[in-house]
Amino acid sequence: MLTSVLATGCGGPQSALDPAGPGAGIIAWLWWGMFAFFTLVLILVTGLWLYAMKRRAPEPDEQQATRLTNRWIIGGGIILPLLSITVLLAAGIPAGQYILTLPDDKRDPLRIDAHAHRWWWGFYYPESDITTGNRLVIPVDTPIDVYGHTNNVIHAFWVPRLGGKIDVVPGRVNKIRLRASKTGTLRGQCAEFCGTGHAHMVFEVEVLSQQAFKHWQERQQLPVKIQPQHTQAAEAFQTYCGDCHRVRGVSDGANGPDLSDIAGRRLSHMQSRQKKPLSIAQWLEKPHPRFATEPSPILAEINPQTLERIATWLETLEP
Amino acid sequence: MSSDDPQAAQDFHHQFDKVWGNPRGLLALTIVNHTTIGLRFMVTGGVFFLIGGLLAMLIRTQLALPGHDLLTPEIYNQVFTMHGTIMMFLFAVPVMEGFAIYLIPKMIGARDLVFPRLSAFGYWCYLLGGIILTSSLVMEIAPASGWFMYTPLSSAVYSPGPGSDFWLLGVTFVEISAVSAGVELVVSIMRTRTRDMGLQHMPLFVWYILAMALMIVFGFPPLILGSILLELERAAGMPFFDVAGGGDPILWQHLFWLFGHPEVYILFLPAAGIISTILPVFCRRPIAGYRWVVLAIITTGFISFGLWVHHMFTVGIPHLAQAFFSAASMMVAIPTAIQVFAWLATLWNGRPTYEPPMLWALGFLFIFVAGGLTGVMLALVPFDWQVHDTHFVVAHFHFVLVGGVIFPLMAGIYYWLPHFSGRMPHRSLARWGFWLTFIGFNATFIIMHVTGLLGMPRRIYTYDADLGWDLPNLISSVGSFIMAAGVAACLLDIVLHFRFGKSAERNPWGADTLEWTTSLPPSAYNFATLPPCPTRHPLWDNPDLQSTIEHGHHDLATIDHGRRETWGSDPITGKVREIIHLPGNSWLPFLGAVATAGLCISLLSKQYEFAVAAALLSLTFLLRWSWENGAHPKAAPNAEVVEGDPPLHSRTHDGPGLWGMNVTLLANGSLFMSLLFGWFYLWTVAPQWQFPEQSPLSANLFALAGIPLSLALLWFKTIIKHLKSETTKRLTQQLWGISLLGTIHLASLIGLYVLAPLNAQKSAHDAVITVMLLYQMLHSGLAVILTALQALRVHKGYVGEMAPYEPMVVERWWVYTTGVFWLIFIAAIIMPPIWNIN
Amino acid sequence: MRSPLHPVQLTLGLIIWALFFIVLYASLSIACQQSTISESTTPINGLSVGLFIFTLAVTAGLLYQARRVWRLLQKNRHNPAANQPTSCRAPDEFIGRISVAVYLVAALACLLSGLPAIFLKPCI
Repeated sequence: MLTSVLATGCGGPQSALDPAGPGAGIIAWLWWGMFAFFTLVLILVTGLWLYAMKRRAPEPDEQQATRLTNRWIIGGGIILPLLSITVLLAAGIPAGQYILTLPDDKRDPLRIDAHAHRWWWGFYYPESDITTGNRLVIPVDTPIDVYGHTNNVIHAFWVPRLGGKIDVVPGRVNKIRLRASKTGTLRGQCAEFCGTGHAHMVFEVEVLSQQAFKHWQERQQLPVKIQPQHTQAAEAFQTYCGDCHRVRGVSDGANGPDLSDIAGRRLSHMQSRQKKPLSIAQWLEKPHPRFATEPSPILAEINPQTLERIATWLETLEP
Repeated sequence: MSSDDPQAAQDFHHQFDKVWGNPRGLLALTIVNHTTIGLRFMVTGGVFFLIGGLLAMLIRTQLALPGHDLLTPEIYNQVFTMHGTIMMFLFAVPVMEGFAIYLIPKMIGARDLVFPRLSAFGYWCYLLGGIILTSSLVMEIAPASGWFMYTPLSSAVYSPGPGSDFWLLGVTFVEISAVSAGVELVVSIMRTRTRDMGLQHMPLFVWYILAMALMIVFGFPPLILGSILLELERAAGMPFFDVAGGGDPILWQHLFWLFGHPEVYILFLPAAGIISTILPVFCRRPIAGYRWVVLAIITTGFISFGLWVHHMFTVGIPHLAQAFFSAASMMVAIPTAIQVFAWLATLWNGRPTYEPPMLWALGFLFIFVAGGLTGVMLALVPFDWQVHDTHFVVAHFHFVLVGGVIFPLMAGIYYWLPHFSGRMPHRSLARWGFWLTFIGFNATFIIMHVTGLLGMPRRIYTYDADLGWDLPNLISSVGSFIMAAGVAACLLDIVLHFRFGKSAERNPWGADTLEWTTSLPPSAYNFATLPPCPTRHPLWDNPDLQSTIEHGHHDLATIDHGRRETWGSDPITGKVREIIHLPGNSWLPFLGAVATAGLCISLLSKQYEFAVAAALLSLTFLLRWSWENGAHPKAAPNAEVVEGDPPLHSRTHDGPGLWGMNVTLLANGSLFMSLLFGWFYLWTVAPQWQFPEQSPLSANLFALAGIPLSLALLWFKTIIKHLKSETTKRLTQQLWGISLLGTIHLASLIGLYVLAPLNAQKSAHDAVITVMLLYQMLHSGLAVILTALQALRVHKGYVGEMAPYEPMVVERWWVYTTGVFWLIFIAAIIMPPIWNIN
Repeated sequence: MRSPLHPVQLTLGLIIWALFFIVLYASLSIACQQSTISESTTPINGLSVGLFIFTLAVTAGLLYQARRVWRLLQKNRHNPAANQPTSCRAPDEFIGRISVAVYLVAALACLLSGLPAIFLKPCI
């Protein structure tokens, strides 16, 4: 059973055992080391116990018994754990220190402000004045400082393949430093229970080469391209959806996630039993019944044709 | 009486039964006997376990498949919140207390616990609180913020319904029960051990329970305080945890985990105590390293209070502070390892047999050691950053709690079943139950570590299909159903055994401790006569003990005085000091608990006039309870004892009530210290904390209000001095005088409070000050009432030089009240202008 | 408390550890609120040295206590007071031996929990 699961591998877009950066890498190593050692300890203790139940040796006299007791307790009860925790702390504390700073004297870290809402993530790049929704785009091999903000409940920012998590607490700004060491798409998720939509507070992490990141940043300064056949849809979007959602150059709403790069994204809140993501149209047609506010209640007021047009247009908004 | 004639022995027991026996029918509500109360705790806890287990099945069904929509997120959140809450507060703690309440007097050779009415009160509080809490589930308005109720999610803004209120009030109600059991167990163990049972002779289980009870006394008050503050925030808008008002949500986490981590050990210690009791019996030799184990118990009791921040490694505290807690968390592995190796050495030296209890002990060892090891992993800060709040943690604490609590509990239930019922369990059904539970458990939770490492956070009601979480979740769900079948088999076995089990001979396992000298099932008074116990293994040293006890060869053999009596002994040596006379059956605990439940319900429904009425009613019942003590006709009006026996405790200067008061004040002090901690914490850490330009309380006036209080205390102290030297004059008048001084103090305090420009809804500063003042007023008010009652009692002749002991109990309260007053003065009035840096 | 073999000794060592631990955590937390300390970047500064010296001092105190109780226990064992029968000394022996162990455990606990102070920058 266990092996069959292990056979499927430690992979997965959110697996802490498939690190994509030095922070998660160190932690994965710590895990494998502790796993190996503690498995040995567990086998040793259980084996001793089973053997002690089985063995039929002559009963020891008082003195022998006391000597054995003291040896076992001092050896197994004091020295073994003391050595183990000394080794663990000696490895773990410096590792923690390293992960907190991820020293890289070449570049200043790139600052990104993560705003945790109920229940979506907004990301803001203060240097380049870029906003994204539920999508974090970062350059590879560059230290990133993510600052967590919230004005509602406690959330936690977590991209397991890059590193640990940090709570996002009202009234304070916590920071976590991350670095990605390969390009690709990762998955992040809110890890602190935050209410009804907690399970859906997911975001995508796109690690780009530094060149590609520069291009991306430049693209973000321009309005989205609207092909002529979609102009009407964009206007309808502005009317019905623009108060809450931002699409670069079309609308400026900030109550919901930015949709400027929504195309091809796995949408949250969907019935997710099938492996293939739903299209936006499918999703809007049958929005998740449990979320009164998401998608917005205004949906019912839009006529189905317009809605379909908006969906078709949104599908063109490539990142 | 002392005779070997069976007829005479039967008459003798008949007489004891008249004094100690339990009534039937409606009057069963008045029973205060520890055997009955202990069983009630265990059975009620068992029912809640089944409810909690059903909720667990719902969770596992929901998570079995990705995108499963059996439960809506709203319901799912209620289900997992209530699963945790029920398992922790309504199952694990009460059942452990039930075990202790049932066993402790029998193990230390006492006839009952020292405050029988308190045991009954605790039980009713637990039952009613549990019903109130669980009823929310039926109405679909259960709390839904997780069992640790983090604010702001649990606050009025984000949880507007009554769910959080159910949690806060219900759990507090149940915790009152836990603390009262804690106080009672501490005092019973310290003061009612039978003749010559010195500290060094106490059965290890008693050591474990002593540590557990003391940990309850210190560990539960922080959560009680936290719940009161959060409820005040929700109901009255006082911003303790609201950043905008100068509060801080992290304060809740500190208060919660200050309770929450010791809680784990509060559960584990008695469980380990069960193992330490059972192993030697089935190995036919004493535990290896008794003193080592005692050392481990003491160490665990302390160090487990220094770990709470390891639940908060991701809230953004300095790494160095995390390192302190990381080190402390790992250190707790040492006492645990000492115990594990002491058990191993016991097995190694002995000749163990595979009875059902041993099977569960073996299961315990494997699961608990595995859970302990993942616990050490979690104490490693960077690893915790990664797996905190994932299913890895869920798997870890189920290993620790199921392995470290339920498995030993099952071992204990099988071991003591003959004691509860007088019948033996059925071997093969017991084996089926064990193996199904063991296999099911491991199938559920081993794989869940992997689920967590693959990135699945806890508390999500559904997940997407392509994340690699499908298979592990499915395996967990299948495993959980196997485990449920195992639990059902055990339950069936236990239920059937009451009907079909073959009846047990005396001391069926060949045990060494005193509880096996009672009849099976035991009589209400446990022992007809109290044997001396200058040894750790009374039954191994003296196998005839059962018959000499029954035939009246030991102490306190008279019963014609109609008093329920047990020994009061020296806390260290176990030398007999006095006879403790215990109260009989009474309606007051039940009525008091019902009135308190009324308070709880009226607060829930926000009917505050009813709440005041219910509070007064319950206070009345409790005061009436305190009235029927000492030389009161319902207690011990006649102080005559057999020649050569020590005096009744109510006729001495020291008695269990004094100890009870002291231990209660320790719990109370822990609550107050938590409040002071909250004050200093918010002051130094809360992001938007602000002191007002000018303190709302004038230092001079406040100090002035303290003068009559301090004078009253001094006066009280002189009375005590005179009582002790038997030179009192005009005791009644003096006590009235003290009450008057107290009233003046209280009146000026109330005046100060009313006139102070406090805006408790605007600022956390004012809110904390308000709570401090209310706390002080409550204590001053009670001091006045208790002293006035003493004056009345002196007047009635229940208290005086012949029975001088109650004023000494009340004096403790004055000392505490005065101490609290001046601490508030220093912390809230003197310190801010001096150290206020902003 | 008066006698080194009073049962309070059973817990005193760990009570001292608990107080030590509170002071350690509180002083770090409060110190890190002050910008002058929290912005200092050297791994070893006044705060960490202070915390470490504090740790050593408390550890030494606990070790001294352990030795004191142990000595007394030895003395008791070798010259049993004439008016004390063995049965009365038994709890003393029991309490004394466990107390010594508790002091040693507490000393170890202090050292382990305070040791990280000199290895880490205090406020990140």
